[in-house]
Amino acid sequence: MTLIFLAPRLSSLLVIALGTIVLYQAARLNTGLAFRNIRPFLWILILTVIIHALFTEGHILIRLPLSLAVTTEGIHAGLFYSFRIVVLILSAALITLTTSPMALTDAIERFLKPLTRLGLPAHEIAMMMSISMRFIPTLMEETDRIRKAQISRGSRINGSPVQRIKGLIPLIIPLFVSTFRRANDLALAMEARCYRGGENRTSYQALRFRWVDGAALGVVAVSGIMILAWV
Amino acid sequence: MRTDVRALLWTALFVSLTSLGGWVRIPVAPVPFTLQTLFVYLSGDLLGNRRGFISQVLFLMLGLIGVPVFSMGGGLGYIFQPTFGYLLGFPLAAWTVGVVCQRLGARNRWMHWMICNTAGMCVILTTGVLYLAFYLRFIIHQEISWEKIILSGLIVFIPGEVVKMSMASILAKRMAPFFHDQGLMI
Repeated sequence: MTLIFLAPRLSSLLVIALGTIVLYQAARLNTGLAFRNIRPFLWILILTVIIHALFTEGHILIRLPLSLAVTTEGIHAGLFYSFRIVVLILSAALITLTTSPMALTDAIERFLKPLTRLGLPAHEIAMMMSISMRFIPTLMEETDRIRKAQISRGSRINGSPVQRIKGLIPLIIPLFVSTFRRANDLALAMEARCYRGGENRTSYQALRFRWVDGAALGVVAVSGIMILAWV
Repeated sequence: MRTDVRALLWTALFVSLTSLGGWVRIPVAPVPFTLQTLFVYLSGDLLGNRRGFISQVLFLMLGLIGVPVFSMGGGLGYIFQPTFGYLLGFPLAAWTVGVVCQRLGARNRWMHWMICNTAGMCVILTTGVLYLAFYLRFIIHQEISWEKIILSGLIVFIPGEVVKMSMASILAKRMAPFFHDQGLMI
């Protein structure tokens, strides 16, 4: 990704884009999936093109009222920068599309392990991430149940925005109470099983760094340097 | 060193609560009202600076590794959203809220929590605006005046944030005794 920022010309950006597409194919990812990642960015891409088209000086293509004008240079620049954003997003999405959040959490634990000596709780961080991931759906259900319970008691959750915002307080307090209960239950269960943090704890799925991983890293580094130097 | 399981769990649960906050949304012009920052303030109020900071960092990490906890999904590509700066401000804000609470001393008044949360709001909005300015200059490559950036990236958020701050203060006032009894607060 740093590479994309450094890429000064359209040609080098195109090479990187091509490489990203090859990687998508290699990972057997559906192209439609990739474009779903771009959708939230659509308005910012359009905005980029428009802003550049209007505010860059150069050869005037179309004159607009309010002394605005669309220039060829502007359109070129706009397309270049929005293309750069697209490549950035696609390359970033590659990681999250190929690797599950749980696997990434394990990777983060491994990665932070050397910092444990400096007082960084690597194991706790990974543990907390998995716990919070596991509790999102539970708490969502809980919120829904509390909402229905409050409606059945006559609380005004639907109505004008002000009323709805007021109606959130009787939603959050029971949510905290039930979260409190869950935290206590889980703490009890963990203590009953002698949870003592990360020391000497083994993992169900161990991660190993094999020669393939090393080779992949090497290929990316070498091709990155080559693109910057020649293209 | 024995890990404090309860503190660990509460930090984790605040991550889930913050994620949940993004799902509760009430459409009000000009920016939709979500509860995310409410939980950012509460994490600083109730867990203190260190735990609050950790919980918000974890929230960010969770979103970046692809769990759809942000307002428009998740994934590493989210760094390239112009609004990512506000999210970056979450951990800093939780930390600031915790520090201000600690400095003010333990007094369970609404006004007291309000002061802490105001400090947090300033941090979130400042980070957000700075990121927005950086984004416009270096990613979109356009010079846009500071007045416009501040108007569209700061002023429009203030009414909603003030509402959330007062809600967070009410909630913090009611829940602080529980957290205090559990030994979770400093």
